[in-house]
Amino acid sequence: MIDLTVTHPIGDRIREVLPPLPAALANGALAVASLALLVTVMAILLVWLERKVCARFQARLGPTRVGPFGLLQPIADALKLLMKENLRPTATDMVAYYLAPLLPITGSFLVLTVIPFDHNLQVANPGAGVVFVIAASGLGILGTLIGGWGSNNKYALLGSMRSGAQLFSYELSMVLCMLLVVMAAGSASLREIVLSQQGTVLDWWIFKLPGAGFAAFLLFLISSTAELNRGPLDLSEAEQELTGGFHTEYAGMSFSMFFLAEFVNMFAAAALGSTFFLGGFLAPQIGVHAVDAVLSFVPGVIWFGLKSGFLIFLYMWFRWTFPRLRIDHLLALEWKFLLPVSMGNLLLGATLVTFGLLLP
Amino acid sequence: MRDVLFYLLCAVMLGFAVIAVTSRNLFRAVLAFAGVILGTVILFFALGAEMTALAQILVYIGGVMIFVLYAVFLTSGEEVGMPKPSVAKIIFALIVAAIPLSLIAGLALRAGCTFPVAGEALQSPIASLESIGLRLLNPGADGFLVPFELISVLLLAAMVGAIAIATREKEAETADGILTEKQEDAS
Repeated sequence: MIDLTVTHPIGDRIREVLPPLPAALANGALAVASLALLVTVMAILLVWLERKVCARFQARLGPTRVGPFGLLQPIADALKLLMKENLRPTATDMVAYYLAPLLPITGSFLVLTVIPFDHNLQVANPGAGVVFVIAASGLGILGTLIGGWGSNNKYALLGSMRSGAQLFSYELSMVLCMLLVVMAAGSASLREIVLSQQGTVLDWWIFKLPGAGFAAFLLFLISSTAELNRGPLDLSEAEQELTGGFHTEYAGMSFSMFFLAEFVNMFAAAALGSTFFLGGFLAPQIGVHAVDAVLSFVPGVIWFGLKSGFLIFLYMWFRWTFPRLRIDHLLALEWKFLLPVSMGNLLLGATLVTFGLLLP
Repeated sequence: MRDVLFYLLCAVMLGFAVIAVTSRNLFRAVLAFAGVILGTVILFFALGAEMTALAQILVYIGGVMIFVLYAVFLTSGEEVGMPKPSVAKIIFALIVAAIPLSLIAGLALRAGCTFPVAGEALQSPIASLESIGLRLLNPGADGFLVPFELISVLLLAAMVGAIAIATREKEAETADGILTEKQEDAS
């Protein structure tokens, strides 16, 4: 097998005690279980956060009654979704209808497997981690398209046709932004990318490549918002025009799978953003020894969570601030603005790297 | 263990392939084809060809399948079912399929079935992302710089062709109206 092993105290202990094959199985089961737990907790937390942030932006309070600060509200939501009947309209294609909700969540789950949450906290570390991330997110597009067609509903089909065009286009500029960092870091492994940003805050790729890094970060934010199907670029759902787009016909569990995938995807995108541009699990050191010692005492996973949390807040801020774009404006934005700009930015970054014009 | 998994995977892939060919529902045939491709991806991963596997997902699942699905969406109306093929067609298709199959079987027999076993191929570092990238951009004897650049010319030609087909006549275009939207969708 390709060596993807990540050393971790628990994993190493299991490898010591058990023979290779059971150890690999046990470690795999542990990894899947912890990721599943993370996905569940993250989804609940993000649903709560989205409702709260949305409410604050609209000068409301949001959920307050269920639990302290309404924290248990998402659990009530989840219970409601679980107890709903899993309706399937008779005119739908059964295979497609039940297959579609599984694909996006599989894709985002796969992306989470290669994200380094801390020095030793990563399920697998493939050398081509970035390519893996891009490949895995392709499953999401497939799920949306299949779901839209399988629903046998014109709104759903319109939504999925739009989402195909949108996700496909915005993937280009997102990949170009990632490519810039891969080029600068000299590796496509996500772990290596994080480790290439060691040092002070100025060594993070957002600052280290003067100008190009920050531009790439902004481009990444915009294009990943489109990839996430979130407002203002949520053309494939567009509640007001398409009554929900590709998931119009979905109810109960199959709907909540789409819903879950959306929130997990947002976390994954934020995690990627902080891995690529904000130094991932590294502490934000400022060069003063006494402060740095305190900062690096905090475990990396907390820094990682804080950075990702900041990006998630940005995504929510976008959603509740900007109005939705029209489909032709959306595609024009990508093909006539973002794509040329990110290509130019890549060229600029290549020049900076070649001539060593990085921040010291 | 590995052999069992291999044969299991092959059986699943063959099953999907049979569905892809025999299903009269075009949409389901496409889905089954996607299943075959995912099986190939797993095979490549098992062989240690990490990059080939990822490229397979990127190109086939992320690209080709989406376009095939689009083609199905745009061409088939209410009825996605296809008519039952005639006996002559089935016989002809079987003959056409038998020729490459016999060729491949002949090659396999000639090689004496001495293919690299899964475990052996894994150690070869040739399939890593770095080595593929370096060889693609190597102008030397073992590099592939010229074919790589030729492919980009081919892609450029395809892109120009697509734009030329998608572009409407000037008078049909309004400033920023619905027609532009349609045009964007078609491209």
